[in-house]
Amino acid sequence: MAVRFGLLLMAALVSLPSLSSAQDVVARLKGEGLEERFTEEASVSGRVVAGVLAGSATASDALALYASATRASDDICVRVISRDGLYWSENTFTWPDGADSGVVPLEYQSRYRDQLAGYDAKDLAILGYEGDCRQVPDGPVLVAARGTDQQQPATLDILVNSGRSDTFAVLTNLANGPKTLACQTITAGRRTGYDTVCTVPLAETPDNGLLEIRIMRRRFDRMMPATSLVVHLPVNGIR
Amino acid sequence: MEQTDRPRESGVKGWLAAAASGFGRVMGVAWQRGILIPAFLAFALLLAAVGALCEDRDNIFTVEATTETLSLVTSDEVFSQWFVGGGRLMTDPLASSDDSVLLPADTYLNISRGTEVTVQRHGIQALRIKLQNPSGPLGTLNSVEPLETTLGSWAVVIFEPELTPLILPFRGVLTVGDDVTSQVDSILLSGSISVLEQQWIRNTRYVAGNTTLDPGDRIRFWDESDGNGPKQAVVEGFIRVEPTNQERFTEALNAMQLIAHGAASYVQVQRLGSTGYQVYAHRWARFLYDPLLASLAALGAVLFAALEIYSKSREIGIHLRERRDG
Repeated sequence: MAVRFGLLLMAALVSLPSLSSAQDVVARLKGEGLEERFTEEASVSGRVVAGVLAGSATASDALALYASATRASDDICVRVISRDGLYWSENTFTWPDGADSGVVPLEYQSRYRDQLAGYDAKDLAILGYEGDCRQVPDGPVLVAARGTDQQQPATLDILVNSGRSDTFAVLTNLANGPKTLACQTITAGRRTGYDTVCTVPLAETPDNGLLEIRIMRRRFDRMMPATSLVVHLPVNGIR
Repeated sequence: MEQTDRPRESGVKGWLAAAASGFGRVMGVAWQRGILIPAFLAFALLLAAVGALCEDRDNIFTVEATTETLSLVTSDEVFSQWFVGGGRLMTDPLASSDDSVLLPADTYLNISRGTEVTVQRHGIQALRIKLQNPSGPLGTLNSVEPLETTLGSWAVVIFEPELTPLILPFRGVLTVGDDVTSQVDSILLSGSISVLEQQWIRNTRYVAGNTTLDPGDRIRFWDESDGNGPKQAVVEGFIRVEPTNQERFTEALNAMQLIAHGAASYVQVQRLGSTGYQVYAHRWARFLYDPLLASLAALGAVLFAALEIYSKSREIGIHLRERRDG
């Protein structure tokens, strides 16, 4: 009994530093105050890809990004838009040192927490990409997470503003060749922010941890210009 | 505090007893004042008004619109036979438009139940019909000439009615227009919604209201009659497609006109810049639009006015008599 108690005590002492460091690892907001807006009138989004979310996302105001193995910048631009177009934010965060795996929460002190928590899992798009929002318009994308129960995701949801077209996600750099996935159109409710969900399974992924995706859109008889994005795949080791 | 040994009646029975007692007392007073018949009539009118107000009635909504886009999920194969002769058919969503197949001049498209159909047209350009049904076949193409093409789960037909207008009937779950956002190029241009409500007692209908639609509105019919929350109502209607050669016909703007009507609880209008609104026949509007109820309401007003005049005249008479008698 005494031996078991001693082992438990030792385990608790060993785990203390890692717990405290996990709480400190937060992507800090760069600049003063969160740049966000919640209006009664819907804003119109102009981007094709509105967000890239882990399939395990839940309705919550706790926002986070999955860490990747490699990154070119310590700045991460995070754009958030709701499906109904009422909520919008664009802010740059500083990536914490040494956060190379697991989930990194964002220092997201929103004035509209209740409204954010009220959006369903796929009704809030988060797009986190490398770089400062004011300097670069896009870059390699980090997978976003919502909620506190953050598992290693089995799927990704790419939220697309398709302009009511038929949308396909082509995974271009898989070992067995390109794979085309049909995306699902959202029909219910307001679709000002985005209107399509492309669910990408993560069972088959490239070795370098970077998934290249081309979003193809077809409106009746004509193809619209394709949109390409590179997604940093989540690295195992949830904090 | 007054106490009684009699058991207190509760629920509906108690309310009925109280109402009967109140009615008896009011009628007693009316008898004493010599206004029993008018009071009884007024009470009957009030009762009829409450009954008419609380009664659930069928509403038929009619949407008349000029639109560049609409979509529907078909619920009836018999209704959904569309002429597409001479059109171009595409069945591969990832292929270029050059891969299209020219359909014979007498081709009809029979759309299967459950197929999602999107129709789009700008001005008097070509009519675009997109069919999607991930869970089953879209339908069949019928022509005297043998067709090698079969329909899978996705197809687009590009069609240009050159000389005569085209009527495309349908029955299904309908969405008219599209919610405005960037990259959307087809919207509802104009239109109106009117509500036909069942008349009181009789099986005829009257117009219970209408509203004008703005460009960019998105319209859907909802039914919540089964008590399990709102679900989209099945409606019937048709699309009139003006011919490409429009010099002999109507304005180019009215290139695709829609008439749809069906029983529903309300019509939801989504509008950019607002939360949208619901169009339905308000219960109070029955007194305005239902001819029978409007007549009853007018009769009630006249009766109450007569009662008031009679009552005041009686009071003045009593007062004058008291002054005369000293």
